[in-house]
Amino acid sequence: MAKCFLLDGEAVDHEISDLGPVVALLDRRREELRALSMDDIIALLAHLGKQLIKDPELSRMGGATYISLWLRADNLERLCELNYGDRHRVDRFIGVLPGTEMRCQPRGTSCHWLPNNVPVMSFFSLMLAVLSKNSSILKVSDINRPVLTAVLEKLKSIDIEVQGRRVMGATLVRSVCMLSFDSSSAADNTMLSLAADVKVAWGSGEAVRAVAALPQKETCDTIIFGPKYSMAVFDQAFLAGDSSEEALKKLAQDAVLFDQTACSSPQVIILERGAVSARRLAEELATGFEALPVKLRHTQMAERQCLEVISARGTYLLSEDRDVIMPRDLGWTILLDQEEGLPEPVQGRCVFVREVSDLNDVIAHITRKVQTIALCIHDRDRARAFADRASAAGVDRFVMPGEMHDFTLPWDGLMPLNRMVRWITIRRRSEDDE
Amino acid sequence: MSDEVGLEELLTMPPYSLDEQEREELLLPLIRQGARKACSNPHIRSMYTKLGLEPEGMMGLEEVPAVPVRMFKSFDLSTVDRSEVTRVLRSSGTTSQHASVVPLNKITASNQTKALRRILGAYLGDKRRVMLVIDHPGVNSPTRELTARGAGVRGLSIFAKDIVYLLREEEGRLVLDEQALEKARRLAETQEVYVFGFTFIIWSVFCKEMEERQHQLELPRAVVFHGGGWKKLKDQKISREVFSQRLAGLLGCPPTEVRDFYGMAEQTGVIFVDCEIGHKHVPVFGHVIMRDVRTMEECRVGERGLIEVMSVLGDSYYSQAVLTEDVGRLLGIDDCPCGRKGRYFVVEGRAEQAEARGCGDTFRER
Repeated sequence: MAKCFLLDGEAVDHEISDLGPVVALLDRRREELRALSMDDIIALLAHLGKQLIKDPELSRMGGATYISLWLRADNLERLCELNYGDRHRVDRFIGVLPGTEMRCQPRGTSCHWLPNNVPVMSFFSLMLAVLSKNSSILKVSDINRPVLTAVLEKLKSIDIEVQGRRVMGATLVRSVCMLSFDSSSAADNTMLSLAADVKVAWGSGEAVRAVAALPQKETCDTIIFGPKYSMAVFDQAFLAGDSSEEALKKLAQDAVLFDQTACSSPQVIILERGAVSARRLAEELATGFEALPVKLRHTQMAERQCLEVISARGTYLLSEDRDVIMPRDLGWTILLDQEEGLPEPVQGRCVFVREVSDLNDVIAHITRKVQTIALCIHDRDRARAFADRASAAGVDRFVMPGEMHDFTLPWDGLMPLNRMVRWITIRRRSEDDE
Repeated sequence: MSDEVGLEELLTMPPYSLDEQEREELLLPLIRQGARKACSNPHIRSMYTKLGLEPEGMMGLEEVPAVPVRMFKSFDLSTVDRSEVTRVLRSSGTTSQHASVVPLNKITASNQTKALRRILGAYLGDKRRVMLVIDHPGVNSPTRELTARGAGVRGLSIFAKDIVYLLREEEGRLVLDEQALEKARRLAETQEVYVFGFTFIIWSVFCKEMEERQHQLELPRAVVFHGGGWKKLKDQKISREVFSQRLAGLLGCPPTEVRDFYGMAEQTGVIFVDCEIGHKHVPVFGHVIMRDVRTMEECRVGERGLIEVMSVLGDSYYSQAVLTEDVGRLLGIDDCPCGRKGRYFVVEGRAEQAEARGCGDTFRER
């Protein structure tokens, strides 16, 4: 039996066995959301962003600063422009070609199977729904519910004036329902899936495959943010430059965030063989780890994950042809070996360092499951050529160290806002445009 | 006194007679000596080199580098020539298809036997007794490779003048052996007995069948040893007290004489037996350190940590320090109300499960 925690803007605590009445209520609230202009919605969210870092309690929440930056109006406008071409296309018909106007309509009820490992991503999943004017049913867990509840509570209290109109955060919050149920419950998963006009599934391969296989409306679209693998590549020219030390510091930060369980967490650094050895790069990275702020330097990862790290350390300590750099604690671990290809991730802040003769050798090992590469190739043309080949093999994003977890769109190779709406066209005689 | 004599002496001492400081003073040189020998193994040497350690430079037991127990599944950690290995102990464990491989030579096997004799003697006295094994005879078949269950039976049988297996195999499953039970009943009328079995087998086969067939034994002076982990019983929400009461009721012995022990194939010979209060005690030839799972620092009394087991018994493999995947708490040092000296602790089971792997995953396409 599913348990409902938020409905119609109010905290509740009751069981639900039929989502029909919930969807009917959300449909009404979605019309109120649809009546807001995209500029109104962006203004509300940008205001929320500012409030988050001013609030002493919320600002201490993990990821609060990043959420706040992400909610800047210019960032939200850019995301909408990228996805819709023109952000006002979610408000009204806009001409695209002579005789052709287009707009988007929300798909309806968006149902989200949220990630457990990265609570901040749960918030972004909800934001995708809000920025496409869909109502939302969020399947939450004990891990992500506190973050979402706190932020929505703040949003609900916002009441601002935009171009002479009064707009309220409560309109957004009323379009959201939060519920939880045992992930193994076929009945509850099916109930949620059948309620969806668009499904958004995050998580492990097992989790997203299960969501994708659930029965659904034939008009429902499914967006999968499934399991992925990320890495960094360095060439010698980049390491010879001034920015390599800073890049490795930032990469250390990328590796420890979310204890390296995110799809965008770097698992391996591939280094082109040359003057700077793998060992020297690893030592620089170690310096970066040690320079992390105390809050990031130490881990609270689960005991079983710690055992995986301890086991990897043991393996590399006992292997004569491998090396390891690590402190006594499990705050970070660097594993060096001479093996080919990409290593299976250990997670838990364990970064592999491997050398290749030519960075292009990596491309043979890239699959569609490689999401992000921190691209540390000095020459711009060479970097672009590498990205071209690596993306053809499967990679979705190329960023600089320090930006690996930035939730930019496209994500996982798709424009999610674009997918969460229906595209509507009106075609007329072109002379009517004159 | 040479170190070798030190080990011999240690193995003749009452196992709970030394306080913390005395024990550490005796153990550290032996551990250093064992570690020096272990560095003849290229893997162990690699570990010491990478950690920048020399065995002689280790100033305390907590400085000795521990091998994660899983490493016995993937590395040959033997410290003697292959020709010296007289028996290979294999333990499949519960989490992997690969078995731990523990090579034993004559010296190690002898040390383990002596240590077990000392530990069990502290509970059974000097006299040999009839041993009732709650398992089937096949578990101790004389093959060169021993299973952990077989090693347990063999190890604990050193006080046995006669062994009676109370279960038998029938079409691949274990059932109560009525004839053996009758024999045990007869022997117990005139002789003292002790009982040994694996916790889950005792609960799921022996207790169940004894109750179903309405059998009961009268063994008022029996001592019962059981080991092998609680995971399956914990899953069924069976507490230690419930287990002891049920078994003691069926055997006709006091529940305080139903003694759980903690041990592992990789550290055979050093077992940690419950005292009357239910605390597990560390014998003089071993040491236990609780390690904070995230900092690897030694935990203080009362703190939860990974259990590291140290032993001076291993001559043929690296037994000096093994980090297990079990968690426990050190309850005290030298001050257990039962009167035994040394460290005492409680085992809380396997380390807790991690959350689902999340969206960060393998690069392989499935």
